Amino acid sequence: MCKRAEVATGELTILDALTVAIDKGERTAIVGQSGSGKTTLLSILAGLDVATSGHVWLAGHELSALDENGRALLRKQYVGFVFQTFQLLTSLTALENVMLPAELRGDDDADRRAAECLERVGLGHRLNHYPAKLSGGEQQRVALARAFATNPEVLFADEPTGNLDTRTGRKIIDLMFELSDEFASTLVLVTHDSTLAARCDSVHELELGRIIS
Amino acid sequence: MRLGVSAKLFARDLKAGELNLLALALCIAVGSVTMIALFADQIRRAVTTESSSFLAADRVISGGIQAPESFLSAARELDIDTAELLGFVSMIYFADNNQLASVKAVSAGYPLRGEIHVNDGSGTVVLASGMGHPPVGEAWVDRLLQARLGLAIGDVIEVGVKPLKVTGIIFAEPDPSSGFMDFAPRLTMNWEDIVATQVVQPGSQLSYRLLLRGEEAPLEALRNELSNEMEGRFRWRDVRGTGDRLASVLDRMEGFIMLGGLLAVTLGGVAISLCADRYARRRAPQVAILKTLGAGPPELYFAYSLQFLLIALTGVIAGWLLGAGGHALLTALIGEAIPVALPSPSLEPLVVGALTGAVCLLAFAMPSIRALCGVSPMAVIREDLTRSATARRATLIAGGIAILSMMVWYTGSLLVTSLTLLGTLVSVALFGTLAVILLNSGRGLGKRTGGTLRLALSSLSRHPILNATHIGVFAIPICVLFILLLLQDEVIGEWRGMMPEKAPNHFVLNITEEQVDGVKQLLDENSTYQGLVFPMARGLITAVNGVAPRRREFGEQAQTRDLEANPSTDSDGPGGPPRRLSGTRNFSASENLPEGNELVAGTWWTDSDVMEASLDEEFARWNELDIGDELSLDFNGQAVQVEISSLRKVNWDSFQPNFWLLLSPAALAEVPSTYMGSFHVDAADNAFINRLLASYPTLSVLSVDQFIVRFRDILDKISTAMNLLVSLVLASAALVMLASIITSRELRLREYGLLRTLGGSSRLVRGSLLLEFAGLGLFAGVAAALATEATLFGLQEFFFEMPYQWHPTLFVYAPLTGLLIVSLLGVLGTKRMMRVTPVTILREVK
Repeated sequence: MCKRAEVATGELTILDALTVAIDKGERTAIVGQSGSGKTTLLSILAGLDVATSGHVWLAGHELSALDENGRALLRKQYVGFVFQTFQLLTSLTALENVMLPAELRGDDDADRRAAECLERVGLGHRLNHYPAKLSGGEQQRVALARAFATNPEVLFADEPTGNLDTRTGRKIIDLMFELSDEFASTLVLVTHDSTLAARCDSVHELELGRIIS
Repeated sequence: MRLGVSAKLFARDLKAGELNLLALALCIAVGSVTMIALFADQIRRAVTTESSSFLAADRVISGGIQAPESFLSAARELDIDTAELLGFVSMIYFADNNQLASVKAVSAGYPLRGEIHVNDGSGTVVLASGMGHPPVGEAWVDRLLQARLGLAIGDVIEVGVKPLKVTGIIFAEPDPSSGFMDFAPRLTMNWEDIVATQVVQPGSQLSYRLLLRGEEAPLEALRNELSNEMEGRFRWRDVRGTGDRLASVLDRMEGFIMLGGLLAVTLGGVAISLCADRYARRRAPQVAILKTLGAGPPELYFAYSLQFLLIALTGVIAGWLLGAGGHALLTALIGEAIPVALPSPSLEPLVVGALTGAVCLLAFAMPSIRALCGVSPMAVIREDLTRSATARRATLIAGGIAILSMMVWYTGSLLVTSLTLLGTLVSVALFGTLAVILLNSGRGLGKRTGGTLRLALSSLSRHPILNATHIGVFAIPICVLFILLLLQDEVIGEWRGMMPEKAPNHFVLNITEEQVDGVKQLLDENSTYQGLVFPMARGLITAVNGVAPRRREFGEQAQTRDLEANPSTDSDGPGGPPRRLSGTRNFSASENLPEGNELVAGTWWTDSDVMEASLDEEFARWNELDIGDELSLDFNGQAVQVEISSLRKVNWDSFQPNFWLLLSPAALAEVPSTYMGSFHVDAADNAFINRLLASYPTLSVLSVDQFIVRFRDILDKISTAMNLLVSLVLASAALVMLASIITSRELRLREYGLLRTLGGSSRLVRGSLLLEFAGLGLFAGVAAALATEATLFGLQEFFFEMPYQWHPTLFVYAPLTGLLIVSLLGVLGTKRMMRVTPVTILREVK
């Protein structure tokens, strides 16, 4: 696939004739320097963005053939996300944040499932707290609980420890790996952290939009 | 997204307080617009009803013959109440005295509007509408007739051949009429006694009136139904159609109240738009996150549309309650201040309030949400959630169209809306640009200053566009406030000028040449107003440029013999110029251009020996006369030839004797004339009038005091109502400013929170914030002053048709007001920032 963008100085190639395959259940790390195209690759794989050319498949569905509605439906069915900046809704409590994806899918037991997930990440006592009242580590744990609340086939994580201290980051990663094992989810992880990448089954290193290893 | 999830999202946002500001703004805006509209509607209807008492009815069909039975039955079918009145001039006899009086014979049900104050010998009683007719065989006289004939309660007078017992002295009546020369002594009798007087004979000069009272729609329907039958024989009149001062006051008042309502709608719209915009901005992360979680654009659009509908519904209902409650409270509070029976308001204000809220909310918020629904979920990862320029443009266009549509719909006048909008927006935009330049230059200045000021200037210059927008938003309410205040001042001032405290309230007629000096002396000694004394002669225009006037007749051929409009064949007075030249009329002469007259064409005579005439310009236009035309006049057989040498614009609102035709002194020198003048004495000073009449028994004194008192009373009520309206708009203006401050609070919180984190003291931050708001307020005040001047110019020149003059002090008061209000509201809106720790601020506004 290719991803190009129009900039003031002309056309910029972000991903250049790139081919990557990730198997079901595999843990993959995408590494590279800033600006190498890691996050763009993750976004295209997750159906958050579209490639300029080429084909992308997610859980057996060709993403590149779908419009935004179709891609949204796929995300709802198969995908969980964890972001560097947590991306919790400030107007919702921890429980409500976690309930949201299940509610969007129309699950009847969204609240029970969300409470279980929060219990699982160690925040059973913080169900009704708003994000502003939680620490960074706690917020990322809520994000993890939200990501796993719908039992996703694929979890995409973009620098999940980027905003956390080393110790907290390590705890979050442990938890994420545990949950991914528990839910048998495929994990696609964008990171700068080589130690973290080393824990994955495969590592794709990007440089100037190409996979170099 | 399913309905349930959408509703849950709404409920959660509501619980978290995310919707509070928007709902509150909506509620207050709908409430204030509803309250002002309710109040305006009520006042408008009350004053119209009150002024209907000038006609003693809502509408009048008048003519020289009695209205046919078909008119009455048509009115009855439409549920319109009726009463009849016959006016004629007759000699009243009492013992050895007699006096020409204006007689009014009224049927049962009179008056349909207004009330009559009658002293029946035991004290003054107030007779409500429907009760103001004397019983058969009785008559009520006014004080002038009482004084002239020396009447007492119980005396028997004769009208025609019918003896009537005087059972009441009228102190106030609803339709004393406003036309000059119609203030002869008055007598009211019962309709049933007309035949017995034998006054009504073929050829008698009579004026019949069919009085009507009912709702607007049936009255209009009746007018349409009867229009063909009325043609040429009857006139349909309402208080607006009288062409007098009251009609102009009512027009001004209605214009002012409409403008007040319009400005309230504008302010409400701006307040909602600010909050809706803030809401849409804060929704951006939510939309993006929901997208990553699998919500598609249609689902999101549905969810947010539903959310807005729910907000609109809640806000509108709460706003209605607030508006209705506020209105009830206001009515209770000012019941004393406005001694007019306030009618129940119509439902239209509720629609105005609801539509203002809902339309502005949807128009300002939906384009943003629509744009957000279309953004790539990548925005979440990139944290690039700023709205595109296209989305902003779409929001502005949709919102602008919404506010404009509301304004046009509310006023029903594209002219007023355009003038208000253009004046305000163009000036604010111009000044906004200037402000950006000034704010940018503030950066340089800031570097040369220290501490607090440096911080404030740097903050102002860091976001020139945002601050220029704020200046514009702050300027609008200040501008609105000053437009209303100044206009109110000028409108009321103009009214007061029309009716000065010591305006002449009596006219004296039939002064002979020998009496002139003596009368003048008496008036000088006893009256606080020394009116000029004019000669007056009755004459005919026999030819124009040698052609008899009847052959030149055009326009309204069938002029009815309407005693009220033309009590003496052709009277001089307001109500429109006579549209024919034939018939006797009053002529006067003056050496100088009389007070209240303005020369609009030709030249005023400098030599009193010339044989010239000066005409009222409207009179000349209606009768196709122009400068240079020769008029042949006949004064009781004495022919006079004059040339029209000038046209005048006559101020009929001045209580001066005014004339359609004025001659040069030489033209009237040989004609036997009497003289007339006007003077002011206190209403109660009957002693002076009696002394005047005792000294000169042939004089006629006419009192217009009753009219002036009633007119002034209505002016007072209208002024009170206007003051209240201004206060209500002031409250709306404060709301807009507060909303504007709150919407930008997060940015300031973040910057000043960071400053405090970096060691800035609370004092430094507080001082800097105060200076920043003061600066914004000052700029906004200057912008508002410019916008106010521009808008007032447009409104006064093109809508209110008042002379415009600029207001230099505005450029002091408006900036000062802006500085004070914005500083105060700014400090109030951000005071929490000083109380909490910097980290709390940073966390909250992250």
